[in-house]
Amino acid sequence: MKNKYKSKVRMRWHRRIGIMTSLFVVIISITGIALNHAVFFNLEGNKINSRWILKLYNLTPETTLISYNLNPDWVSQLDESIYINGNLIGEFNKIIGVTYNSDSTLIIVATKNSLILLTPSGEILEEINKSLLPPGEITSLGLHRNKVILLTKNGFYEYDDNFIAFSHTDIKQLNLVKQARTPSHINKLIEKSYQEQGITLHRFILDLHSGKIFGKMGPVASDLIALGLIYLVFSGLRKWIIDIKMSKIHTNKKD
Amino acid sequence: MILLLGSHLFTGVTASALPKETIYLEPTDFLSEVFEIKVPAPQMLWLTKDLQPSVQQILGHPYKTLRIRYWKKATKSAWILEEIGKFKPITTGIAINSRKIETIKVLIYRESHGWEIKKSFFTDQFKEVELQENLKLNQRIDGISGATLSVNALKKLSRLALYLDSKVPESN
Repeated sequence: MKNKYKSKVRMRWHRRIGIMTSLFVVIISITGIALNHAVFFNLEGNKINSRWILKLYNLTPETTLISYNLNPDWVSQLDESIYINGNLIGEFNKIIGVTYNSDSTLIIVATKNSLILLTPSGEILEEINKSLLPPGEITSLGLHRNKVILLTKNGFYEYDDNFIAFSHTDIKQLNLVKQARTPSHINKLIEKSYQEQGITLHRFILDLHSGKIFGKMGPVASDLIALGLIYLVFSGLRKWIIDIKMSKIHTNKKD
Repeated sequence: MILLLGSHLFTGVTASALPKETIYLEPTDFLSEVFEIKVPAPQMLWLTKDLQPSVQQILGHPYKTLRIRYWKKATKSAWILEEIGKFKPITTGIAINSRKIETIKVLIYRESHGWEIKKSFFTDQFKEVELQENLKLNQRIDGISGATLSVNALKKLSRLALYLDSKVPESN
């Protein structure tokens, strides 16, 4: 009698846990399949624009927005993203300095490991890799008598007008573009662009799969579901074995 | 269920493995290897409207810059090109001699997976490969399992370099 009661309780919990975990099993299964075929579904290429999902992530940049006023163009950086007049150009290393070229037809951006030549409309003319730049760590970029000068720890280097060749120069000072307060209309554009590029479908599905989407309690809930599933496996097996034994007893009695 | 949990744990681990930049060979060192004695002065090839359609056909999208730097001496040219593998650009050095690939080397790799494409067993397949009129390579390149996107990126870059090389005049 006591065993029968225990068995009933076990089965009641088996049912309860089964119902409780079923929804999560479906979510984990669907997201798992999607993650296994991430390239096929182009998860990385799809961005999430839904406000409530972006709100859920509470997207906040790791660095503060910095901007340089070239007048009239603005060059800004938020985390690794570089913007011209609030329009995203791409991801690069930290900006060291910016300047126009001699006739203001190009925007030159020096980062820790490259020199980027941009048109004011935001097209990348060329990105020159560090190993093709003058020797030494880049420390500054500016103009001197209408020539673009790159300052590295090894000294000042002057570029030709086509940015193909450079030569060492003995100048001692540079006209630098200093950081400036970002105008509010550019700030808004960057904020919008940052949020839109922030969450890919891949990240969202991965977080849904791991439970991280539900905040700090997500992984804990995920663990509880995993434990629940383990319980279901063993209680189900136990019930199955008992049922087989019982049916054998019944058939023996009939015989 | 257990399999699902396993995949659940596995995806959690892969998510934390962030890609980082690995320099296998500095671009300047690659150029020194290609030209041995003296590296010629760089030249520029502008991706004009005439070239853009073929570049787009090869890559599936426009190249990220409007002009490309190259080094040329007689029949030999060297190109340093970039293409995204899965998430990050792969910097590749390609040397071409008489319209055939002489060497291809992965210079800077930024992805977390697929770095095997830098191995010579893979890059050696490109030796002596030419570009056909339909902008495809004239030889089959075997892939590497688990590095499909990086392999594709390298194949595209090799086609791009051969195409661009065909567009620059021979120098003395």
